[in-house]
Amino acid sequence: MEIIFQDKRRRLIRQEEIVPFSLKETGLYMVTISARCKGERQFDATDDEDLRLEIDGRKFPHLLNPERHADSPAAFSGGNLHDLKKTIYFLFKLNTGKHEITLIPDISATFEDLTVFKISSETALDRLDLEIDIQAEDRKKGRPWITFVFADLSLASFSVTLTLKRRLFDSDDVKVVIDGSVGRSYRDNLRKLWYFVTSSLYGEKQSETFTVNLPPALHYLELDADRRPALERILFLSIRTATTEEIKEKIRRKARELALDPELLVRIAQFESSFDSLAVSSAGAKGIYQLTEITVKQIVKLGYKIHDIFNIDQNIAGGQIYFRWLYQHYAGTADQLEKTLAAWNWGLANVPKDKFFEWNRLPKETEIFIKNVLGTK
Amino acid sequence: MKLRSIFIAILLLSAFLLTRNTDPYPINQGEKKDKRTVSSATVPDTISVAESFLDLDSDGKAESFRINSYAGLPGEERTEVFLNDADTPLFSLVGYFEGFFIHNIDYSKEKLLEIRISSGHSINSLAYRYHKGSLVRIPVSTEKEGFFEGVVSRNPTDFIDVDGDGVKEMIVYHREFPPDHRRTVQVYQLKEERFEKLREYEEETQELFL
Repeated sequence: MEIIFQDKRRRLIRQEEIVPFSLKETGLYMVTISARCKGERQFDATDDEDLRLEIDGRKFPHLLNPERHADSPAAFSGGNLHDLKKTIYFLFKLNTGKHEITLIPDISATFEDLTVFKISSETALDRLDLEIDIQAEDRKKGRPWITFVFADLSLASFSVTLTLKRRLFDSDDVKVVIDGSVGRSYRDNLRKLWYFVTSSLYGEKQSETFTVNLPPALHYLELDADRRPALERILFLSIRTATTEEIKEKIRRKARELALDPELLVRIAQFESSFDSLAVSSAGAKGIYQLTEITVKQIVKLGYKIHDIFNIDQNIAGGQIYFRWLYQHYAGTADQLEKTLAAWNWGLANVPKDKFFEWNRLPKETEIFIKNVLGTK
Repeated sequence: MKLRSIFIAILLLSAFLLTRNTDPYPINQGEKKDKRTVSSATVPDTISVAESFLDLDSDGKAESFRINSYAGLPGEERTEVFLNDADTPLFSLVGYFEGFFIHNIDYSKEKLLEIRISSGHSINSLAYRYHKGSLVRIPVSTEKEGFFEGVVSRNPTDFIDVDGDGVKEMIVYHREFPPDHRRTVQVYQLKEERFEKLREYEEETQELFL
């Protein structure tokens, strides 16, 4: 793997920091970050230290509650870590160009290091073999240790190889959590939530393969540690981004749900972004339907909140809800579809409902957009 | 009893006077306004304000310039422009405020004010001259002149001296649908009271132009 960028300056972060980097090629990348956060009692405060990240504005909240960030598996929470080191590996597709990682502490956090790796120039990978060799710091209580974040990626299976040692009073254990669901173990009936436990029966070195078949979406694979287990190696099989066909199918499904023409909404997405969920325009429009910040705020008023504009499902849902609102606005008028597309591109206030639709009153770019979508160019 | 009633009335009146909001745009409460610099504050989901002092006619005296903008539901976006501390807007535009820029086209005293507003998926760039206490719009001549003014594009404009004659041209970029590694570039020149198109061409782009 090629190292694209590295920051090894250990420091205390008290306010938001932006770490920029550039990529020469689109492909699969991995961002690893290690940090520590203290619990409130460790530094006589009234709140714990926390640290979360945004990558190109993209947040990584709890899967079940998108409003929760600080104690997400993709964040560092002092209430859980108690100043022990945690490492998070973010895997995703990134496009060519400039990117930025924003470090957002709550009170403060100790930043250990950050590295950006290029994994592949392709957006699909049969196997990713990481010889990590990382040992947990000691604590006689389970806590978050390592998280692998798959952002809009699918994963067929993964295998872990761990070293667990017997220690006085309490030995090494590892919990495996997949998308919030704790892997149940058959190895120890008394400690079923701890998948890997120290046992003379299983030996110090233990391995297991987990067949997960996760579809392209946001996923968290967590390893919690009790005492000092070591992760020697993790092997991921069949990682890939959502294919164009998968995205088209998501578009069609949502369109049917909203009683819209599925193929029309596919064509709009095609002409907006060519189905690139990471597309960003020079004006800041993002995602499959090229939604702007203002449009996202307006979509909230229409009853749907987009937490992550690059999330495929959220961008599709938000864009289609916005389109439906425009379409319903022009209901009962001649050229309803043309007016809707004109309003989509140029703004509803510029396309009066009660006036006859005139092509020669449209800006040229709007006219081209409409004719492309309708296939009349 | 009577005294107590009077005292309670005074208390209520004081409470009313203290909490009454006389500012129609109470978005900077508690925030120190530095009128020497451009500042912008955003009320969640609604109003954006930009405020500045700009010497738009290079006479050594700064004109005060303020923008209020409202998003609301689709179609409700409005931007109001206030000049020289006026209480009522000089004009109102359809769209949400995206930014304003001062351009010195030909390095003379005259400055050009560009206001960008967004509407739908497009950016509308409008150019103005300051003249006798007001802002006069400079129309842009296109194939469809007369029906709208300014530039409508998915991309912001540039002001660059492309031919090295010391006068900046307005450069407008139009993306491809679907996005492609090329775009259409239009070059406009300011001729007296309007921007006229000099030429149009296609060019390749390194990044996928969206």
